[in-house]
Amino acid sequence: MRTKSASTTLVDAYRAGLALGLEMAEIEPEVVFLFCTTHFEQWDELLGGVYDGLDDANVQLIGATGDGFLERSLVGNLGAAALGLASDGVLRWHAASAHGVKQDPGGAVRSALAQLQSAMQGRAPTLYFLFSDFHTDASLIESVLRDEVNVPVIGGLAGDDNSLMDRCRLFSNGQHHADAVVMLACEGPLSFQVHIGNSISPIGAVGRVAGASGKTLQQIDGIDATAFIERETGKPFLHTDQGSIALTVARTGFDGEKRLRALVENYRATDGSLTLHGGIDNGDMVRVCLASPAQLQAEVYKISESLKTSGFEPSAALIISCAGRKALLGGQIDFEVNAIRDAYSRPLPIVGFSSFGEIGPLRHDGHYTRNLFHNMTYVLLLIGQCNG
Amino acid sequence: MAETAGHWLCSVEIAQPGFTVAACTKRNLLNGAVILLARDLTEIESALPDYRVSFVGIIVTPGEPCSVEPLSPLAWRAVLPLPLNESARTMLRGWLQSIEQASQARQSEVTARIQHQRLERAIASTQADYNDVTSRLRCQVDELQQSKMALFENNSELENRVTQRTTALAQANTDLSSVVRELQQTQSELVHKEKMAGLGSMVAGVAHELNTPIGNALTVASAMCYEARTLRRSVQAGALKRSALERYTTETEEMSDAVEKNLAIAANIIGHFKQLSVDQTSENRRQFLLSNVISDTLSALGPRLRKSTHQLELDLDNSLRLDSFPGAIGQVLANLIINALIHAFNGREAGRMTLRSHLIEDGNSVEIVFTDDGAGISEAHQKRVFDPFFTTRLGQGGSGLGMHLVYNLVTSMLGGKIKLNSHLGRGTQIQLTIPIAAPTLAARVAGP
Repeated sequence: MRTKSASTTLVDAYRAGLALGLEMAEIEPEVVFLFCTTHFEQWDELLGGVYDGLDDANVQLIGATGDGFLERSLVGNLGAAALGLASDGVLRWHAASAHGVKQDPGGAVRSALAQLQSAMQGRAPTLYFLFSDFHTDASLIESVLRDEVNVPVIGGLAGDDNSLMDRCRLFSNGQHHADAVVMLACEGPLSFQVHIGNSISPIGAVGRVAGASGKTLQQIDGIDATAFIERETGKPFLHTDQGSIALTVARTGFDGEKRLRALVENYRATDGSLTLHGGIDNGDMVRVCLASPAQLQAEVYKISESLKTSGFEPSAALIISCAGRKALLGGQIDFEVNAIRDAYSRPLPIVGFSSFGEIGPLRHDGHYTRNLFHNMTYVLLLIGQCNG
Repeated sequence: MAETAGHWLCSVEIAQPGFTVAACTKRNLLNGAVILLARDLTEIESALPDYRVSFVGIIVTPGEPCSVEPLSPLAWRAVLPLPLNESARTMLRGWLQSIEQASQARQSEVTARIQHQRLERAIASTQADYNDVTSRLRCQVDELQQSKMALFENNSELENRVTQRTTALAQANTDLSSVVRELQQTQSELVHKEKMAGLGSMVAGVAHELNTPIGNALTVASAMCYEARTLRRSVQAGALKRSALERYTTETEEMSDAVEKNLAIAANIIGHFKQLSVDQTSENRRQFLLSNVISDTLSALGPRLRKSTHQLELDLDNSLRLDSFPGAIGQVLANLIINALIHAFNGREAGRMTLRSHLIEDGNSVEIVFTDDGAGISEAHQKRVFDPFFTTRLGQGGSGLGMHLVYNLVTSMLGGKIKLNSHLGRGTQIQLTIPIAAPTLAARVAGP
């Protein structure tokens, strides 16, 4: 399978898109993943540039904005990156989009899934990709992916650096969307591996969630959510703590399933409630997690080490890494790319973005768990070969 | 061959060496810095309506005279004659490089501006956190200040309370000292009364002892008076007979002997009492025979002993001579005997007491052992027997000072030791060890 990744820091939308399209065109891709920062604004120009560069309107395109992009040769806060895949028709790709994810996350996902299933005419995909607007309760997206989709789904939530969220965009083919979910289905004999790093350490006592409504969390362990976080960490929760403090959710009855929920400080809340990057269920048992830069780095390098001996030969890599990790690391997240790049002796195209939520199954006892929504997590998809 | 710097594009109608023939499309026009050789601007406007803003490079149109027109800081229009000579090509190459550099500078400026905006947002966020933390800290400092004030007030109140309590405690101490002094005074007075009570008991015994000889003497003296008056009446009547006179004389002599004997007995008793009372009412130190003191004491207690149904047996060394306080020894013995009579034989008719005295082997002390075969003293009571005011007969006449007085007299004035050995139902033994020579007052004050 031919693969290629490229990145650009051109600030002009069309020229940036064109630069990426021209790079991708070299391999005559069937599908292009596009990730960029929100400064472009002129989304039609960006996509027009990509397709002008590709010079092929039939190329499937999917992507999203993020708090920066990751690419084999460059990790940046401003620019765009793309990954092209070409299987010479061995794989079939189908893109879909659905709007209304703010109001009805589950409905939007089901709508996109229905479009894809229609395109596949009843055939089962090998892999799904999903990207969504951040303005949603991602736990409801998770519910659909977890309970109704039995193939791995890799993806994340679009975003930027918490200040330009209204510019969040999703891309599918030549269109850009807001308040939407975009999906891509891959049909055919594609090998892949999913590696997830979400091992930051829980601290303090376990608390039972009460008064949870959507992404708003009222109480834990019988006290205000804010008070619980302060009690367990010994400090007030601040805006800049986003990324370093999260809740780990242990769901009983499903081995190996563990999720992190990052906190969004709700400055307007006078009742001690907190907002999460994704909903949580009443009765869930949670613990506060306090991430350290060293810990985040260690888990990525651990994954990197495992790749060297796994025997799996990837042709490309897709990284979806929480923006909170980037915030905690002071923007120094190059290692998240470099660790994977250096695990292989031959050049490996790599692309990804800093997300506001991550989607992917965990590996447990030789199998993938159900699809889960995460925060503060590093999702690595290694795309293998299309020979089955 | 295409020029190396940027893209040198031209339309097919006016192709020039070094230019690539390409369609006038948006893709070609905006793919980096471009030198576009075009017949006129119409074709460009058609492909890129905003070319004055978005195009980067030089649009060359053929013509004369030569002219240059800026379209934007990064886009220029040049009118040059065809074919382009080498000078023109050199000029265009350098010009395009400058435009590329300017374009990159503009790119860097925009990038820097956006990065700056991002940093500003991060700083604003950090500032908000700083303000939040500062606000929280201020609140906490206020709370700490309030707590400190409250603590200060509490401390002041506490100090006041401590001062008040200390004053009250000092007053209580003073009161207590006063009470203790009063108690000591009272105890001393009670001990003195106990001594006096013993003396009173002794007086009663002596009086009882005197009653017989003095009564006898009085009776005989009355008879003698009667006989004398009868004799005088016989003399006055002149009816005195020799026989009557002789009988009177004989009887008077006999009665005088009787009076004399009884008065001698009384005098003897008074003599003993006099010594005893002197000894017991003063700290009179002298040399004496222990047996005499014991004898005098028993004499004083005679009526009480005879009145009881219990026996006192003596086993005395009559040669023991002491330089000590006989009054104290008498009081000790009297208290031991009276105490036994009161407590030891409750409910029994025939109790047995023994009093032994002998010299200890070292020759410097005597041992006086008083024993009864009475009820004995419980272990709990044994520890308290010598405590002041300890009595099992409270409200029945017992003052609780008798044995305390014994202990004090033996250990203090006599300089001896006292040991109690008792078993319930088997009686009690009190062993006194007394120096033959009592300690001097100075030695007593100095203590052991």
